[in-house]
Amino acid sequence: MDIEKSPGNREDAPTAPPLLPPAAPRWVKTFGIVALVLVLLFVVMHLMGRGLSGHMGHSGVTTHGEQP
Amino acid sequence: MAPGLRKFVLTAHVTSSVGWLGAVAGFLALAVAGLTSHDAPMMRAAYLAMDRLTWLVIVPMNFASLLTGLLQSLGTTWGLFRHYWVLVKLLLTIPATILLLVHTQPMGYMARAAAATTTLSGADLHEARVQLVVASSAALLVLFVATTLSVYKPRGMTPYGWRKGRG
Repeated sequence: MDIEKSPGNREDAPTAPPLLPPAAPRWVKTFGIVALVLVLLFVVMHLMGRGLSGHMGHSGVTTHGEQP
Repeated sequence: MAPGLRKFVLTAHVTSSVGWLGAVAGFLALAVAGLTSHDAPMMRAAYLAMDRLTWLVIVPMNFASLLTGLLQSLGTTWGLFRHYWVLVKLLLTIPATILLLVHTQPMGYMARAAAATTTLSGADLHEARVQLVVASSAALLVLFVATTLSVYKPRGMTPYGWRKGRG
């Protein structure tokens, strides 16, 4: 089959490379949203709840020979 | 990176990463035992063992995994910022490392409390004990996600990787 080459399908026509990078895949977007929600949840829990007291080690333990 | 060295670093990375995951799973089991047990000697033993496990296994495995992962990505064509799955793993590992170091504090308090008393009761340091269970559960989930990314290597190049590929 002899097809006349148009400017659009000429073999010697330079193929223009894409100028913009491809968009992020769906799994990356989903992952980002889930991560953002978890980070916000973590921050809100620490701000509204117990603060960071658990990291500071308020000891409620009474050891032998020690006053509470 | 030479093929032999690449294989060596890869083996070290897989070993340390999976070892880290396994050690955290063991830590979680001990944290649950410490939280739910009513047996004082059992609780003391759990928190003392968790302290040793943290400093002798989890922290070294964590840093080994991070270091070998950096070497592996920077020394091969994968790069550190070229593929989303590598970048996501890095973004998971760095906060996990920071949180691990932060949570060594309540772990240390628990271990010192356990060592200092023979009557560690269920009410003592309840908040810190719950926190250890929650933190180790979250760490286990993060490490599982990182392992899954390593195995599946989902497609997707970052804009930086795309530009590098064109250039």
